[in-house]
Amino acid sequence: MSNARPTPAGRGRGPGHGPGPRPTIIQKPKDLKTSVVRILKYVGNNKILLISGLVCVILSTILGLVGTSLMEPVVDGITKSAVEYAKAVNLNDDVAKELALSSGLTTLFKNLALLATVYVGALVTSFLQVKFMIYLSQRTTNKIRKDMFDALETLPVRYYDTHTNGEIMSRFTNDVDTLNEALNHSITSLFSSAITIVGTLILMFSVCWPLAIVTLVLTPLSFIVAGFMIKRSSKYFKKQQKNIGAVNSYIEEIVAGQKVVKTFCYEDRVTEEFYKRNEELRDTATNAQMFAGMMMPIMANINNVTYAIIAMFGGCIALGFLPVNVGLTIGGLTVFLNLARHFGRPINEISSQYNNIITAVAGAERIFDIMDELPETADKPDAVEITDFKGHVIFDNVTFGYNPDKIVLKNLSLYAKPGQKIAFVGSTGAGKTTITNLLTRFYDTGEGSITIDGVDIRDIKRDSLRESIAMVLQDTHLFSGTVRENIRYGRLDATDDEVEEAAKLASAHSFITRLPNGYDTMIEGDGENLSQGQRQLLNIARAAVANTPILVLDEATSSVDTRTERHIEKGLDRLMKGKTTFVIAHRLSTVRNSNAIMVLEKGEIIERGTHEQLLELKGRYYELYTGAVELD
Amino acid sequence: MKTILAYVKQYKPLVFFACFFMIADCVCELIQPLVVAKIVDEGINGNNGAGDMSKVVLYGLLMIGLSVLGFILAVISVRCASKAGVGFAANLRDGMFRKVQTYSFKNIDGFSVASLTTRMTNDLTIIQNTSIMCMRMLMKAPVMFTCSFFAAVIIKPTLSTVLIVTIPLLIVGLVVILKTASPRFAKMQKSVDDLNSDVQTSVRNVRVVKSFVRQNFEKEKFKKYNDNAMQASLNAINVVILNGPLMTLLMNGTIIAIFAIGGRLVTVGNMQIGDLTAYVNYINHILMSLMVLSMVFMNLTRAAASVKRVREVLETEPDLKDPEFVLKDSVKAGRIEFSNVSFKYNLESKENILTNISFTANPGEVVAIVGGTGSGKTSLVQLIPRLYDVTEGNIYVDDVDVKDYNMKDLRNSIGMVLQNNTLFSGSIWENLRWGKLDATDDEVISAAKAASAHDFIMSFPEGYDTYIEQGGVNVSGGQKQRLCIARAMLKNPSILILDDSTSAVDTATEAKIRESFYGDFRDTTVIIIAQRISSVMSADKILVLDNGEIIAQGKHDELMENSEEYRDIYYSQMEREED
Repeated sequence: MSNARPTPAGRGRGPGHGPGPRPTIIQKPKDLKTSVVRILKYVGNNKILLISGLVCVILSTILGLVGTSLMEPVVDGITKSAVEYAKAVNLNDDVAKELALSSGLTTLFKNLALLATVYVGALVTSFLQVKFMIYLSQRTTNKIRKDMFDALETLPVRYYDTHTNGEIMSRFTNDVDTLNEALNHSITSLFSSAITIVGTLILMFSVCWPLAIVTLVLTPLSFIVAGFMIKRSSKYFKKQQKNIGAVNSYIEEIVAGQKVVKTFCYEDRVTEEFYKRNEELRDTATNAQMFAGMMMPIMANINNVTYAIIAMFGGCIALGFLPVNVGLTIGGLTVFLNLARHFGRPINEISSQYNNIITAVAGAERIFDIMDELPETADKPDAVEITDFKGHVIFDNVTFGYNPDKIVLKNLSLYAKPGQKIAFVGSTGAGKTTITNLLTRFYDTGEGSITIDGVDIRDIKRDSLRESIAMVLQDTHLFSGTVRENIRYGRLDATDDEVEEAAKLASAHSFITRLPNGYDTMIEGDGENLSQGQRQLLNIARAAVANTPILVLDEATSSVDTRTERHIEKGLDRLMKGKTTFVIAHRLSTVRNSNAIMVLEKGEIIERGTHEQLLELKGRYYELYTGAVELD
Repeated sequence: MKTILAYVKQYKPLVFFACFFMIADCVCELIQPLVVAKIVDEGINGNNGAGDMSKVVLYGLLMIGLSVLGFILAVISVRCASKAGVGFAANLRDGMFRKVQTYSFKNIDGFSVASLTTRMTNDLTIIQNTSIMCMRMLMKAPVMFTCSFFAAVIIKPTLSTVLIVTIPLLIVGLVVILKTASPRFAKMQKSVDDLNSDVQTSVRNVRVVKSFVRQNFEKEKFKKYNDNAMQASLNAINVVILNGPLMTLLMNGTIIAIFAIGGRLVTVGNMQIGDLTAYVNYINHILMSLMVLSMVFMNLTRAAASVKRVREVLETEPDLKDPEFVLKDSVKAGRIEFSNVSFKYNLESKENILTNISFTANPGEVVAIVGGTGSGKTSLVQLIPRLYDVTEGNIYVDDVDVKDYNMKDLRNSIGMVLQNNTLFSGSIWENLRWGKLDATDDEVISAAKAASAHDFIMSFPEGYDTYIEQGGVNVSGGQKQRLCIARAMLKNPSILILDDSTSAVDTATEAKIRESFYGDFRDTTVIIIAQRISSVMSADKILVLDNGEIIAQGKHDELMENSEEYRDIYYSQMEREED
C-alpha cells in the first residue's frame, strides 16, 4: 500500500474559470457507448430537470435567433420614417412632419416592445436553463459520488491493497469534477450549438440558397485547420506533460530529502540538476502553450476570411454578376452576412465541447470501474449470526496465497483457547499479517479451515464475525472528530462512562484529561496533535470499548520506544484478560510472556512453544533473541 | 509583488511585444466592421443604388488582407506571450528551488514537504496559465473597451449618456456578485476539502472500518459531507450565474434604449441609420469587453491565492547566516564541547527542548545518547553541524564556536545520518558518492565495507550499479540504513553522527559497524543515538537524556550503578526475570 497523496489538481473548479489554455491531451474512453448510456441513466434520475433544461435551451436559442432577425424591422422602420420625415421637411409641412415623427415613433416603440419581450423571454429561459443544468449536474455528481463511496465500502481489502490511495482519491476529485463540468456545461452547449447551426442554416437557405451552399463549402476549411493544429499541439502537450512529470518528481524527491541535501552541502549540485530539467520544460512548454494559444486567433481569422468571401459572392449575386437569379436584396444580404458572422462560433464550440465530453466519459469510466469491482463475497444463505463467542480459535491446515501461484501460508495449524495469548514472530513476508487477514476474513482461506467455537468462519455472518474481533494495528490511524468519538468508534452505543472506563483500562485516561478539552479535544488530521504513543493508547481504548472475545494486536507497539511500550503494555495486559489474543510483533520483548510463540518463516511455523522452551531449543528464536539475525 | 515581478524582468521586451501586437491585432479586428459597412454602403448600395462590383471586390480583398494581417499579428503576440509566460514561470520555479536550497532546517520545518511541493508545482502552473491569459485577454479587453467607447462617443456624443448610466450599473452589479460569491466559494472549497479528507481517512483506515463493521456508519458520514458539498456549491454557483442575466439584461436594455433615442434622432435627420447600427455594434464590443474583464478578474482572484503561497516561499529568509569573520575553515581533530546549551525550536514557546546541556566529546571518542521518544536526542545532535542555532550557551568544535565557521566548511567535516534516511533515485554508486563526489571506486567500496553494506550490495545482480528507486523503496530498511551510513562514512569526516540509524540492522551486523569506529574511524569522533541498549553499551561515554536534560553520563557500568533511569531502560529491554 502506498501513501501517495491525492493530486490536488482540478480541485475546487468552480464555474467561471476563463477560457485559459486547455490541455489538449484527450484520454479516450474504452467503451464510449456503454459509458454514455450509464451516465445518462444517472442523469435520468432527474428527468424533469433535464427535460426542462433542454426545453429552455431550445427556447432561448430560438428566441435569440428571433431577436437577431427582429432587428431588421426596427432598422427598416426607422429608415422609412426618416425618409417620410425628410419628405415633409422638403415640403415644409409641419403637420406632416409631426405625423411622420409620431407614427414613426409609434412603430418604433411597437417594434422595440416586441424586441424587448423576446429579449426578456430569452433572458428568462437562458437563466432557467443554466439553473436547471446546475442542479442537474450537482445532483447527478452527488449521486455518483455517493454510489462510488458506497461501492468502495463493500470492496474487499484486496482492492485497497492493490490500489494506491492517490488513485482512489483522484476518482473522487478529478474525475468527478470533469464529469460535473461536462454535465453542467457541455450538454447544453452542444445542444444549443446544434440548434443554432440548424436554425442558421434554415434561415440562410431561406434568404439565398446559392450563398448558403457557398457557406457550407467553406466551413470545412476551419475544421481542417483546427484538426491540423490539434494534432501538432497534442504532440507538444505530450512532451510538456513528460517534462512536467520529470520536474515535479525531482522537486518532490529533493524537497522530501532536503535535510539530507543540507547535511551533505549538496545544494549547488541539485540546483544545477534542477536547472537542466527546468530548462527542458521551458522549451517544450513554450511550444505547447503557443499552439494552444494560436487556436483562437486562427479560428477567428478563418471566420473572417470566410465572411469576406461570402460578402463578395453575395455582392456578385445581388448585382447580377452571377447567373443565379434568387432575388437577393440588400436587406437580405445584410441578414445573411449577420448570420454568417456568427456561424463559426457554434462550430468551434462543438469541437471544443466534444473534447471535454470525451475526457469526461473517460473519467466516468474509471468511476464505473470502481462501482463494478466485485464486492466482498456475500454471506452464505445459511450463515449464522453469533454474538457470544467463547473464543476457541482453530486453524486447521490452512494454506493460502494472495496470488494462486505464490503461497504465503503453508499447512498452518494451531489452537488458541479463550484467555490465551498466541504470538507470531518472523521477518516481513513470513505471513504474520496474513494470519489476521484470514481470521477477520479480509481474505478467504484457500485450503483448510478456520473455526471459532467449532463453527467454520465462512459459515458465520461476516459482520458478526468481525464484531467479535477487535484489532489494534501498527498504523495508528484515527478519524477526525473528538477523542471521545474516536474511542466510541469501537462501539457506537457506548455511554460516556463506558468510553472513560475503556480509556482507563487502556491507561489513556490520564493523558486525555490533560488535553486542552479532555475527551472533547478535536483530533486533527490523523492525530498530528498527539504523540505516537498517545495515538496508540487511543487505539487500544477503541479496541477496549468494543469488548470483543478475540483480540488482534498487529505490531501494536512497534513505533514507540521501549519505556513507552511498557506503559502501553500495562493497558494491553488488562485488555487481554480473558480474551483470545493474537500478537504480531517485531520486537521480541513484546511477546515474551505469551502462552505460545510461533516462529514463522516463509509461510510455515518452524518453531513453536513458550519463550523459555524456544530459548532452550537454541533454534531460530534463540538466534533472533540474541540478535544474531536481522529481522526485517 | 516586487519579489515576483523580478522574475519577469528578463522578459520585459517580450511582454511589451506581446501586448503591442495584441493591440495591433485588436485594431484590425475593430476595423473589420467598418470595412463590412463599406462593402454594403459603397459597394452593393453604391453607385446610387446600382451597385459597384469593383468596390465589393476591393473591400472584400481588403478584409481578407486584414484577416491575414490580424492572424500574423495574433500569432506573433501569442508567441511572445507564451514565451514570456512560460519563461516567467520557469524562472519562478528555478527561483523557488534555489531559495529552498538556502533554507535552514527551521525554515524547512515551517513548511510541510507536501505543501512546499504543491507550491512549486500546482501553484506555479496556475500562475503560469493566468499570466499567459492576462497577456492575451486582460490587455485586449481594455483596448477594446477604450477604442469602442471613443468610437461610440465620436459617432454621437449625446447618445453616450445611455452608457453613462449602464456602465456604472454593470460594474456595480459585477462587483456585488463577485463580492457575494467569493466567501461562498471559500465555503465551497472548504466543504470540498472536508469531503476529500473524509474519503481519504476512510480509505486509509479501511482495515479499521471493516474490522469494526462500520461501513454503514462511514456511508452515513460520507452522505453528510457529500450533501454539504453539494449545498455549498449550489450556494456559490447560484450567485455567480446571476452574472450572465445581468450582462444580457443591461446589454439588451442599452440596445433598446439606443434604438428608442436614436430612432428619433435618425427620423428627424440628426443621425444616419448606418451610424446607428455601427453604434449598436460598438456597444456590443464595450459590454463584451467588460464581461471578459470580469472573467479575467475571477481568475486573477484565484491566482492571487497561489501568488501568496509562492511569495511565502520566496520571502522566507534563512535564519542562519555565515559569520562575517570566519575563524577557522575546517575541522581537524573533531573535539566537541557543549557549554550550557539550551534550545527550543520556537523562541516564543515556553518550554525548552534542551536545557543546560554540557558535555565534551574528545577526538576519537564514541559518545552515545539514550532516552525516550521526545527527550531531545535528535535536537541535540542537530546542533553540532549548526542545522539549528542554540538558544543559549555555546557549542565548540575544535575549540571554535560553530557560529564562527562557514556552515559549508563545518558540515563538510561532519558526517551525519539522519533519523529519516533518504536515498535518492540513482545507482548505488551515485548515492554513495553524495559523500564525496570524486571518490574512486575503491574508496566507495571501502566505505561500504566499513558500513557492512558491501556484502549485500554484491548480492544484488547488478551490484553497485543497482538502481535505487525514489525514496529507496527497493531496498530493505536495514539495507537502507547501512547505505546511508556508508554515504556518510565516505565523507571521511572528523565527526560522525548516527541518529538512530541502525534500528533495523541486526545486532551482529551492528556490532561489526561499531568495530569500524575503533578501526578505520578510530580518529573520528562518533556520536550515536540508539534505542537498543546493546548498541550503546560499549561507548566511551553514554549520555542519558530525559525531558531535555542530561540526567546522567558515564560508562555503562557506572550508569548501571548510579542511574535509575538508565537501569529502567536497560531492564525494559532485557529479561524480565532480572526485575
